[in-house]
Amino acid sequence: MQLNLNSKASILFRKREFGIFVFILILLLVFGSLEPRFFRSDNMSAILSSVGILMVVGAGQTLVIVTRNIDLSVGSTLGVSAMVMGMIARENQDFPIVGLIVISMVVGGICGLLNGLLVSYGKIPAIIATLGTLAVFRGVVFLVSDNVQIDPNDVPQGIISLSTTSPFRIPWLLIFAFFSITLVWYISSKTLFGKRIYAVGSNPEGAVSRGLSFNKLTIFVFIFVGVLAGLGGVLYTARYATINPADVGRGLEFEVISAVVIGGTNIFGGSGTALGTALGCILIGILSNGLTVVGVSPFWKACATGFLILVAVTIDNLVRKRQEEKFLLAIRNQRVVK
Amino acid sequence: MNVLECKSLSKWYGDSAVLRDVDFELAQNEIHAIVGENGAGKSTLVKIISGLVPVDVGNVKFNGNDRTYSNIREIQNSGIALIHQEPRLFPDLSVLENVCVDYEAKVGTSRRFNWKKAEEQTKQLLSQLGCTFSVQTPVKALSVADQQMVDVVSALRKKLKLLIVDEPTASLTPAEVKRMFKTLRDLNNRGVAIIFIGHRLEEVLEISTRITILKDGEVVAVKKTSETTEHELIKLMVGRSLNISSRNSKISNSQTTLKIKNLVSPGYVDNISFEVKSGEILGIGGLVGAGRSELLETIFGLRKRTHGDVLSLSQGKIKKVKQAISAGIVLVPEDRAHNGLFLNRSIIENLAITNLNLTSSGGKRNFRKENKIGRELIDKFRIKLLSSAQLARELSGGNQQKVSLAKWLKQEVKILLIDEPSRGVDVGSKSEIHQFLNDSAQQGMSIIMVSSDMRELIELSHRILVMRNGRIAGELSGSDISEESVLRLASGVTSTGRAN
Amino acid sequence: MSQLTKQDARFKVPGYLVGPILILVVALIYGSLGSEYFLDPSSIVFNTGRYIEIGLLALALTFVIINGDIDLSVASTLAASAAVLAKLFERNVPILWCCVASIFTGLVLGLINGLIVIKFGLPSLVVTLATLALYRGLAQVMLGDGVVSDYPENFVGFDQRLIIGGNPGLPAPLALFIVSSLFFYYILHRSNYGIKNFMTGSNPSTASFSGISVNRVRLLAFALSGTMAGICAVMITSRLGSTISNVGLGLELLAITAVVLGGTDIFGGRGSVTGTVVALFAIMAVREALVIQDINGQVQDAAVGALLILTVLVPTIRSTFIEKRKRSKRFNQAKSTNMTG
Repeated sequence: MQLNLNSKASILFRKREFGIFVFILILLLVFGSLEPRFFRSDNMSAILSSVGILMVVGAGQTLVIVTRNIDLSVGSTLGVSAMVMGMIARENQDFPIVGLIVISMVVGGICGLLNGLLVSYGKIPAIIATLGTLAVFRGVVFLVSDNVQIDPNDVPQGIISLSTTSPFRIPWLLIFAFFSITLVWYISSKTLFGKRIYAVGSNPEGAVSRGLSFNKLTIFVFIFVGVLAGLGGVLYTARYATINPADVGRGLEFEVISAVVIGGTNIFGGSGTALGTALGCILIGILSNGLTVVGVSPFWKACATGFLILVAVTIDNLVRKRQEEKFLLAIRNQRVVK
Repeated sequence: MNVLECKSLSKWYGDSAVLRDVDFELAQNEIHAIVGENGAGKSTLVKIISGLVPVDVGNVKFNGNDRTYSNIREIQNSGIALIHQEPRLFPDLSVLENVCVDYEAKVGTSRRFNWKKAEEQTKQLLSQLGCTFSVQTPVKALSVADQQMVDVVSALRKKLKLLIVDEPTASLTPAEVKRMFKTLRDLNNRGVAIIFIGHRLEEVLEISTRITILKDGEVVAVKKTSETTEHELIKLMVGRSLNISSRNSKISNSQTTLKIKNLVSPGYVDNISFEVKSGEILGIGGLVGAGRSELLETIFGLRKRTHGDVLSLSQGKIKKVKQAISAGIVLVPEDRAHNGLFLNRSIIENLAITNLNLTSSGGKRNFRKENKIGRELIDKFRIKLLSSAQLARELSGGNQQKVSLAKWLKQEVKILLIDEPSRGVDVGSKSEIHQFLNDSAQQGMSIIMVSSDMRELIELSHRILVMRNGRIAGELSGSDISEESVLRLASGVTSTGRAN
Repeated sequence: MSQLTKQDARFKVPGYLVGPILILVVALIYGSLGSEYFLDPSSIVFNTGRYIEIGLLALALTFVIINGDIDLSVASTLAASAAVLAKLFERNVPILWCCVASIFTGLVLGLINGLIVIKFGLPSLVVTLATLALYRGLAQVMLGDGVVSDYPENFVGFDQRLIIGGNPGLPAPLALFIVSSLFFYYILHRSNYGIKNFMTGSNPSTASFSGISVNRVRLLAFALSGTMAGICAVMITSRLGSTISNVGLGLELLAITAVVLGGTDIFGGRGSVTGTVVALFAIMAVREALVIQDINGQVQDAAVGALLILTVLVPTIRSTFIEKRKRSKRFNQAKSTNMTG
């Protein structure tokens, strides 16, 4: 008997992203009808700009969580990368923009490498290692900058324009966001390498006994998120034009992890999609912006985000449980037929 | 030519020698079984052969080439694969992805992976093994038997030369075991050498051509299967003859200690009613998936019931676990690693956790009493340990099972629910456990025993209830009890041979 | 740590304490070299207020983490409880009842955490991540941008008050911490609840099969954690003399650091109150030693973070080395006997 679970599973699966999508539409309708200003193009682009950075870093964090790890230090990594880049830009006003971007990504990658080594060879649980590096990197920001912030004057126009323009009518910020999400989508669904990453999260011991280079894969995902956090640092600078050693990137890890979780990635690893994360980011962005536009006090934002996470994870759990019951039933039915 | 030649293998874990000067050879066309008690070194030997673990001393030659410990990938690519009960699969990935995930591009070919070609190859291999499920199925949707097939296929893709199967039949139905053995023989005929590790000696004798017996890390003997018997094997493995104790077939008119009435637990237990008497060993037979373990769990109060009653002689209606325990009903679960033991806690703690009512007062613990009870149980059950602070996971399977059982026995146990008493347990411990069950029954304990080990079920039970699809398919007692009658009820085949 | 070896351990320092003790000692030496007032009892005790708050949170968190859960929302629970206190005070409720309400709020919020985790079967990491936002949001909604101050004089400055007078005397927070530590020690290491907590963390499934009510164990731990947050809310309000919605921001990370530094396994099943206490003092010593050197708060945090990593890293590296050495020793041993034999 052909167990055609493929279509059933993928329908349930797509349902998840579809569900977020529907919820987004509902929110758009609700906010739009309460306040037509919501749909104005400058408002829409403000939403996208605010989630752009989230998407870039979120794309990387998705793969980290898929491997059953977590990176709490992304905010600090973003901070270090941005600060280093900002200081170089301040000293050399003519430094090529591309060079600055590369430097920021390299610094981020180095931070990620440290995390990766601690988690793989150091065998430190990711939550602890990145809890530590979250603090260490923030200290580095301070030391490197000597507690002097980067002002808008110091930031080259070329960087700032990244958040507003590009030769393609949409700002570079959005292009980078789209690119990051697409890259992760490609890696996870089209490449064998991506499948290995999911394998590591799905069954770490099994991955080792199958000869997958567990350490290398782990190091990769951390470097990857580090590089993306570096890119995020560039975009952060582009958007805010100020890099303050105490504030830069603070709290980012919470937002990113929330977006990834809302997007349907399983905190225990093994499953999760780039598309889901992207939708999660957009959802958070719309909620946050919509509440403000509609006139709700900004103090409700945190509540709303928290509530959203709970709802998303509960739905996820219910769906997963029902899926498992369906599987079990199908298996038992097979037996009866025999 | 010998596919494998191992000479003078020795390995230590910490200070204890797990293998001592072991020689092992494997010819191409043979299915070579390795038997031995728990702790004899079987798993370690095959882990060394399959490259998972480095050897301390000694030499492994594979197809004539000296093989020093290299990484897993190299070894797998040379054609060796190890399959155990826990398939090395990734539940969230599809069958196809599972099979292909450790693919190594050959030098010189394009790095792009050809999914289409891989899909075709995998489909072909699966159908050769008699599997009908789609390659896109997520592995977590497959039964254990099917998952093992996926495991085999992923090994086959790498030009398999040597396949090691470690206790593959533990959770399979008899039909699935047949399919597995057919697969092994087919592979063997196609040139794959096979090493088979098993505890069920009947199976070992059926499938193998040669048998190596290990004891305490040393090779005791190597025998041709056709020239040996189960009795001889046991003797070599244990070093002494064992009497397989048999039940005392008389139960004097004793009272009913437990009544189950119309018990329903959705999906697993479908309107079950029966009674157990004092001093009776009631066996529960049936195929995997019939709901036997779930029945015990529901009686114990762990599993939700939507209908029905559990009535104990001493305390009337029982619903929750705490009530069951105070009524003298305890459960020794099937999966001791996940449900019966706290593996990274000490043995004493494992034994103490269920006896807090005896050792503590007013919520305050008494360490001296806990140690005392622990020691008493260790002595009574002859649990072998190296040091008092030893962790549960450092024990052998048989000793672990003893802990899982012993921890309840300071309580006044009136009804013992025990699920697979001797799975993964060495022959010596198995006999001790059986002795214990018989003795306890004689002293008045009621025992409800789930077992897939036909011999165990038949020899120990006074009466057998056979389950099928959540219901009781039939009851056997006295001379009705036979392997055939149990199987027939379990699989629903009528006497005319047609399936129900 | 195996209870059986408790008697043995009386004369041996358990492995997991070596790190924190070492850090504590080094920091004390370093600090006293930096300033002659460092080890002055009166200056030490008067600075402990904010660390004690972290310590109380960490004690309760030790429980939660040992049984396999985690509570990221402790700081937000603190904030929400402090907000309740402040708001009631604004309505002229007597300060004592405000404090009671604060503690009660903490308890309720903790119970909510537990109930959501248990009833919906969700991972505590994610649930408390959500309530971290939710509870902080409640505090923000209640307090907005505003500041509540002008608390009564006899309420403010609790951290400077002495239980036992004299020089240096015993400041109230320290006394509270000592009492709490003893309380938590008793519960975790001497009571039935404690061992049930350990077992639930070691293997929740086996715990159920052994007759432990896993749900009750977990719920109690969350309730404890929330209640401690409510108590800390009172203390922090008293110490600062005012309440804003950002109160306690980021404290959860410090509290978790203290717990892990003290040797508790983040995945549950192993840990101790002693470890948390020593780790807390170690963190305190390190930070104060750096303050003397005029080192910025962010860098202090970095130092603690680095120490956290090292404390977990060093034992792993050590045991890998030991295994490698043992193996090559044995290899050579066997080789030589093979040659002669």
